Amino acid sequence: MKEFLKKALEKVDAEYADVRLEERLSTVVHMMGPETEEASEKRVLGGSVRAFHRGGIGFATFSRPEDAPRAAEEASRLARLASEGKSERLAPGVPVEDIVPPEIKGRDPRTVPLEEKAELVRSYNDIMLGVKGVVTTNTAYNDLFLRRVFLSTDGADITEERIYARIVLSATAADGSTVQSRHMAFADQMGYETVLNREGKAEEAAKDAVALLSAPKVQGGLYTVILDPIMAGVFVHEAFGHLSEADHLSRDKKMQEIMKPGQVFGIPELNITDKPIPGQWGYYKYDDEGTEKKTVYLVKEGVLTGRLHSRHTAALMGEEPTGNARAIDYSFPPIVRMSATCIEPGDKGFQELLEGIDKGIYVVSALGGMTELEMFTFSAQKAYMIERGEIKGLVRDVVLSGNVFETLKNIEGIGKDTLFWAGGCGKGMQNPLPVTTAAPHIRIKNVLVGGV
Amino acid sequence: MERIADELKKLGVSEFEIFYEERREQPVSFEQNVLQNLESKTEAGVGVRVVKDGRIGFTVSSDMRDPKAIAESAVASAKLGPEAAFSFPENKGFPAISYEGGDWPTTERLSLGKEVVGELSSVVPGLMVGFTASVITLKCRIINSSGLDASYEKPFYLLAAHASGMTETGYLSDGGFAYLTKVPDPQELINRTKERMKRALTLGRIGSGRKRVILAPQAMILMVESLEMGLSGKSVVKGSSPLRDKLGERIMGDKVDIWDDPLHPYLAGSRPFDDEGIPSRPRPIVEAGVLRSYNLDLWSAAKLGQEPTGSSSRNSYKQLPRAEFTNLLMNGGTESLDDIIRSVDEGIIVYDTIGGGQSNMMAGDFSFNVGLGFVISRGEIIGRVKDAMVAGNFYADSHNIISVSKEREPYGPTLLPYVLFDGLSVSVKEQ
Repeated sequence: MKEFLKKALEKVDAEYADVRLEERLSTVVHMMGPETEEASEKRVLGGSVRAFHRGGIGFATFSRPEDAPRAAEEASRLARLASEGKSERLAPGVPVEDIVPPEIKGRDPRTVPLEEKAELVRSYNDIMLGVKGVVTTNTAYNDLFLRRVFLSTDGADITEERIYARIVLSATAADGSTVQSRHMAFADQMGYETVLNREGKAEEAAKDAVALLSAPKVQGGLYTVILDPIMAGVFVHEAFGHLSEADHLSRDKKMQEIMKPGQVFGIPELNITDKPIPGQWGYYKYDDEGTEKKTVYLVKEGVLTGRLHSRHTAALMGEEPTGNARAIDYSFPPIVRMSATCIEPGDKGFQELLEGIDKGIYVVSALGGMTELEMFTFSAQKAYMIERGEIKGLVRDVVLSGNVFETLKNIEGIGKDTLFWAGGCGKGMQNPLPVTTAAPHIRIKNVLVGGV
Repeated sequence: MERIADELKKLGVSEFEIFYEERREQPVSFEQNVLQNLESKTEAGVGVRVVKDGRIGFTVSSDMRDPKAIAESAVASAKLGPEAAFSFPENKGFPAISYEGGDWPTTERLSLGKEVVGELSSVVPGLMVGFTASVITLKCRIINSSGLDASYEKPFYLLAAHASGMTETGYLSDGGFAYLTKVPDPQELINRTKERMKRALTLGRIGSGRKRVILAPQAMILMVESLEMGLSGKSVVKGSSPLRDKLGERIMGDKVDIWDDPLHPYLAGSRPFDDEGIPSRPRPIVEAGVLRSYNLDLWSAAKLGQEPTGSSSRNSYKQLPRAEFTNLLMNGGTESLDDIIRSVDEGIIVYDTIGGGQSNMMAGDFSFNVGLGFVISRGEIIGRVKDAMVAGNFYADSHNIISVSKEREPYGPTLLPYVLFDGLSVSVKEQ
């Protein structure tokens, strides 16, 4: 198939172009309540050509490899049309030739029979349905084998394979018109073992959903909060990570001023990175324009030090590409995205974080998060009141919001633990992209909590 | 497609459905005031469902050159699939739809992009504008073992414009999007956005508490999303919907009238039949607060012993169908928006919301940060509201709707009015 891609590059009539061809083999086993919704295996093949000419980007997809040359002509034509009045560059590409096998350590999910996957889903599903008060469930197993061939006019020739496996455990409890759910997911690129031995988690999810039915709604107001590692990870990804994506900065002078390296963003214990962590959900060796993913310190000892780049944004800002140009699949051009975004662990134990909180909230696991630049909103799956340094009763409907810059400065304690979390990130029309967050427990003062 | 059907018959499959979709899309996009991408995207493929030994198998493929492999994969998937609870529909005839359509050439969209960038970025120096204008052609064909063979082709158009940046009242972000089967006219969208952004340069103050709140169409989307979750046949069958067993009962206040209209003359969700081949027909969802209809696909209709409602949608051929709204319309009231604003002594009007989709939406709960909203004092908009959260429950709070505007605006495949609620919880961070 590669000869079609090479032929495509010969047809390019632009300063630069790359071609991606992706093969995706996926398995889904999905149960809702007692019924199976889907148990299937799918194969999708497709590719695209992206051409770059003086700052204009042309992009064309193809579904059969033999159509790649035609897509290259189309992409070139569009790039030239989009280049009118522009004179921008891409940061130089590296002519890498590499074959990257999957990071898998354990059992290859492709070798596990569909029957076995279905049985696993059924067993978790039965556990959740067996908990009194649970009315329905959402239990899903997914795996994906991805082979991406990448060629560029800069001479890159990279074949990268990845294998993803994930189990989603979600229980819904209802009592009259009150409905509560609790979701958990476990996912990485290390092998089938990731989805095994989660029986305890299935039971916990179901019991949490039932307990939430009788939990009071939180009283709105300003609180000192402790975020668990999942919520802390979602916070750093949503509230800070997206701000560090240089496509928001590259032409916006005001934003560049706000995100100027050297600005103090938090206490000296605060370190934020985005890095390649082999085996984790958000991992890749090369991004979707052939740049090797590098470790980037976004914040070092409380001071802003770096940001995430594609080759285009790097050239616009006179900086180095960081390997953060990603697309959810071949049908989209890559844009600046995160990989694994981490708050590096600090030195506080959980008890130390609790100390001195007269009235606060311990927030456990994120239901979702959204930001609009400086403003963020996150909702918790569950939360507990903290009174005089002790964890008290369960509360629900905890939604945190605030200004990112103030909130980062209000981080007053960083735990010494850490936990990886696999998430799906949405940006533009591209959703969900596998990303990882890693964070310890963190304590933040003066957080606005919406509620009754 | 016929060859896949032949292969299925050879494998002894007597019940099947083959869904073909071809989507061509040509977006023009500007980012940060600059023309960025021109794209030409084509995606085509089939989704095949079969019934084998009483179970449903499903497979998809983007490559139709090996119909035998597709047929075998579908049959293999049936071994562990769900029990077949329904049969595929016969051809009962379809309503005719004439789409307005129209030419929207790339060059025109390019110059429109420049114009929109110029207009919106000039409101406040330094504002960054994003713009997308796309022409999409969707071809759809369904054949099944009950003799159905139906197809349609529809053009539709996406126009999205958005301005954002730092201002003296903080980060400002506003815009709109239209999703229509006719070429969009951007003027109204531009005018409304400009007017709101100009107003946002002054701050207003309001305290926390129970306030009168007007939700603009783009904020009312949250109610549509909540309702869509609750009305989904699947959630009703599975028991997770708060609307289960509520057909014919009052679920909302009597000022709420909601329709699903798959034959609407210009909203993008219009189509002659749904993604399982059920003919489209407009129907009331909520009439004066009373629940009239769920959204039912073949599966949930069979489970509930009701007729399918033509609500079946697949976001792509790669997915199984599920029941959703097509074009969602809420009836307007008798008062103008200006009159409604004048009637508010102390309250806020909310346009852009942040994080609205994170609360327990199935239950109708909402809790969002106000992205763009304004304080209303003694009937006048006095300035932008900042650091405020609004929370409530659409089912409970719809009983406190005071008025619904006669103006309605399209937002995606919806047409919604401005709605004034009494006594919503507003939490404001004191500076």
